[in-house]
Amino acid sequence: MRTGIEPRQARWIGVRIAVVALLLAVGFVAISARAVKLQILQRVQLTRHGDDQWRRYVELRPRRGAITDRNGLTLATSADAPSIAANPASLRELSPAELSRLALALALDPGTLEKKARRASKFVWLKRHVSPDEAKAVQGLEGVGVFKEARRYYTSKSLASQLVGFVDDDGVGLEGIEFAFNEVLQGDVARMSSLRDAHGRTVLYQAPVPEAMLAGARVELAIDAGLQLAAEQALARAVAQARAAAGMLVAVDPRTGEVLALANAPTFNPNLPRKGGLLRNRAVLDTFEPGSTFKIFTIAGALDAEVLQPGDTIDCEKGSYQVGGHRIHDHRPLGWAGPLHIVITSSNIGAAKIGARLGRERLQKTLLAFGFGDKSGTELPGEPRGAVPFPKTDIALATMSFGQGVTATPLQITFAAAAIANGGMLMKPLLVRRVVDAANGAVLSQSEPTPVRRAVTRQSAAMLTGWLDGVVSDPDGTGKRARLQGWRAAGKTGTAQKADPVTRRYSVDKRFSSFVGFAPADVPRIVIGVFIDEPKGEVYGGEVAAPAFREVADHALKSLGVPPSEPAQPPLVESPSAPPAGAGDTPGQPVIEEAVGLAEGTGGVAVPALAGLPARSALRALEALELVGEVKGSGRVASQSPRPGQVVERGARVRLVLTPPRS
Amino acid sequence: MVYSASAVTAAARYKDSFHFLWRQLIAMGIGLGFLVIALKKGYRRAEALTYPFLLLTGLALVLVLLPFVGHMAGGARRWIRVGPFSLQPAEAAKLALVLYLAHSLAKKRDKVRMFSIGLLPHLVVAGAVMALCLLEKDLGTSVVMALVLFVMLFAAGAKVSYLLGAFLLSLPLAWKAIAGTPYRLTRVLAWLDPFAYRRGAGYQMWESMVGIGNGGWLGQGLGQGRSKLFYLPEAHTDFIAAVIAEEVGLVGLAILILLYAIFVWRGLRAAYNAADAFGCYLALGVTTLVGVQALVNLGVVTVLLPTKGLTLPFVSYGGSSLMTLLAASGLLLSVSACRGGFLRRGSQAVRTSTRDATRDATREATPAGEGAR
Repeated sequence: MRTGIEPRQARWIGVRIAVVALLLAVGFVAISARAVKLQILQRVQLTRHGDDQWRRYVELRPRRGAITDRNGLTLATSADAPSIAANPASLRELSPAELSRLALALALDPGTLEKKARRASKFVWLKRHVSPDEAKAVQGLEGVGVFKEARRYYTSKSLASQLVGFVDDDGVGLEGIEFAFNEVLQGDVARMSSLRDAHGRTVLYQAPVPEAMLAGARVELAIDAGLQLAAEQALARAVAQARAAAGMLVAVDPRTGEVLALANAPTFNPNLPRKGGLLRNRAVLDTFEPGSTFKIFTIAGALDAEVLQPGDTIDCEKGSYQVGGHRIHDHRPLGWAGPLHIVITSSNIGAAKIGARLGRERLQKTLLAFGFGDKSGTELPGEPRGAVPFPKTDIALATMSFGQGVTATPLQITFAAAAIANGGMLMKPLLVRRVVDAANGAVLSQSEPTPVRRAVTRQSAAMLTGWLDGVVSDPDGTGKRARLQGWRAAGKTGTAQKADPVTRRYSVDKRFSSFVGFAPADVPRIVIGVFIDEPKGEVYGGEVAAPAFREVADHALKSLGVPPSEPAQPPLVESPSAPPAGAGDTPGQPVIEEAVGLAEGTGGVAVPALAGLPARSALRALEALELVGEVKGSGRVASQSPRPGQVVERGARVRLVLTPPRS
Repeated sequence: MVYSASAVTAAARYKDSFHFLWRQLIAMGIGLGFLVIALKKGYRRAEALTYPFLLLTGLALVLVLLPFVGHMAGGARRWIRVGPFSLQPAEAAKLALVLYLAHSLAKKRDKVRMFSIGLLPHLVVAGAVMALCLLEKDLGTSVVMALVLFVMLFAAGAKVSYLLGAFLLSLPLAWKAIAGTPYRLTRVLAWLDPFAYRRGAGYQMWESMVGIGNGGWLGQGLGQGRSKLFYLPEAHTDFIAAVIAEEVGLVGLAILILLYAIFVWRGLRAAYNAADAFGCYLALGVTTLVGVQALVNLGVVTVLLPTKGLTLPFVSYGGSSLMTLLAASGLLLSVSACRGGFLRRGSQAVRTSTRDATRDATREATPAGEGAR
């Protein structure tokens, strides 16, 4: 033990140790003071800075709500599907063998893949909504990730495809109900505060919202999937048999205005909207000159205005009648005839004379009262009004009386007919029955039957219904092929001449054939409009459209459980070579000899000469004329179709072929 | 605390959130072994090991500089890999230096006041060790060593004028070490205004301040800290105090500071009551080592001092550091356990208090226990 130390020195050492202790104590006090300053005094500022970097709000997108038919059958729903994305930088690091493996696994073009790898961004989708096999094939590749993305599935494929519409890759509705109810279906984005780490990754510390709470609302359509299917099948058959360009069918409950079926032919597969097909819901969005179905409304107006009595007889001029400088023909020449006969044989001359009795103002007013010339008020955006111009000339008044020189959508026509079936009360079309919160089943909005206005009196409607019954039941009626077994049907045929946009005259052979009717005739439960665009060969509405009415009405009445009212009407014995209803005429002979002005709103445009222009200028020139350009190639316009100077309808497509300029 | 601060990083880097915890527990086991051995054998046996230990660590410090032996991490070559572990010779060198100084100062006793015998050899040896540390870019260790050196020389009775002179002489060296290395210079600038440099050199300081501020009075709760989510670099080693302050608040941090203060108090008492000069200087050296390192680390974390790589004794992750400190604690306990003060021999009061000190000093191992939390 070393002890040889002087007391004086020992004391000194003791003092020095004390000095050291003091210095260290000062240090500890300083640290403590600093801690108090940071943790207590500056706490608020520091925490605010911290929150800025730690906190982040995460938007949780709810799952898109389903679209169902009126019975809850799913038409569109969302489920998770894998999507493949990558960081371009790590794509560039892959070996050529791995790259080609990736391209092969995803069936991607290697060139496209290389292009994506060259992107400057940090994230690029390689292929979205892939199959599980594809997702498995790319697993293990560096920098390639598989993400779960909600994908829209249309479980009933093409059923009601134009009505339901479709979505884009990001799940945003592009057409139809998907578009019109996009926000409701998408639901509210839940905003959650979350924690973020320094690498930008999210660390949740709130409990995630339960799945159901994050679902978008369910939209229940008014259509009945079963009837819709029957309608689409019947329409497809009718279109095929008539070799027509397209067909439309609208089925309505006349008492409520609910649209029970809304079919367009051809259909498309909304699961693969890019594969093509008719995307447009023409039954709601396109206008046509309706033709003879309009006689219903002319005559209804005349009855209401008491310018026509059931007992009146009208000279139908033996099938040829001069109005101004124009001559009107009937398919079946009549002499003096009552209104019933005029309706069942669809006499143009008779309708023109009744229209003349009604007068220009009242005819226009009647048509407007039936909802023409105005939007019908469906939820779908972009609905046209249709044109009901004031008939300035006698011939315009005459042709308007039988549905030429006016335009209307198939939906408008069907709803106007439904007003007759509903005792004269026009209803608002209801495409959607209700919107339901998917989480708790609460009804967010419910569509109630909404009367628009009284179009005609109950008496006039009842009178007219009797005559329309004759169209189907009378041996001379043009709508015999609409006859049902077990129920009386009422309806009206129509075969309109289509305006030729090029010549601005009525086309020689293009027709718009239709049948609008309802059943049972006494207590109507269903109103169906069948519209066949540009049938070939057989063109009359009674031949082309009425059979589809019969099929769909039969299905509807059976599924609605409407008891057969009478077994009386003998089914029409059809012979394949039976002459058309308008026997004696040459089918396709124009009703109106000379061209009258086309309905307002349409109009021809001369295609401009675009050769030599760059693509952008050419497209701008076309846009100015309301034409749609379709560009192929790059550079300057080399050729165009239609030729310059050719007259086309507004909105028509002009194809441009571009070639690179020679250097 | 190591677990809380390191789990996220460990999980991200090694796919095992317990990665650092296991290593720290193993180091603690070995360190406690050292502690028990040191306590049982007594500090006087350790005196015999002074030179071999100093030579060994000196050799290790040289070896670690060689590219094929030393292991690089974070731009510095400080580690020697031994199996799955990597050792940091600089940590052992601190203890070696303390042992050497205590041995040499005790041996020279009165001659300490002489420049050539009392001062120069110590300055040369310590300077060599510090130079080696500086070559490893380990400024923090060098600073701690310098401080320990000065304290021990001062306490042993070296002339204050010599010390002041040496201090003044070292200033240009320190200036060169700081201004000559661009990253150290910017660190100092960032230290003066961490907010302005928060996206660059002051990032770590700023995040540390934000984390500490977020702690408030009682903290966010154990494991609830946010700084460790990769915001704060070195959250489990040099800046563990910031995580502690964030998770257990001012109260927790105060308790931690109090523990160090108690350690220092008991250590200095042990030095004061030591049985002989070597024990006295050894206790003083070990206490200063722990106290200074804790102060510098806490100073850095609270941005009182500019950033330098220094662990928080007993708490930070780091096996070499923990094992060294536990061994040093063993020596300190052994000093404390030996009766008879060489400064105040014969005092009965001291004798009884020494017994208390033994008991208390055993309790002082609690900061070591903290290290494993």
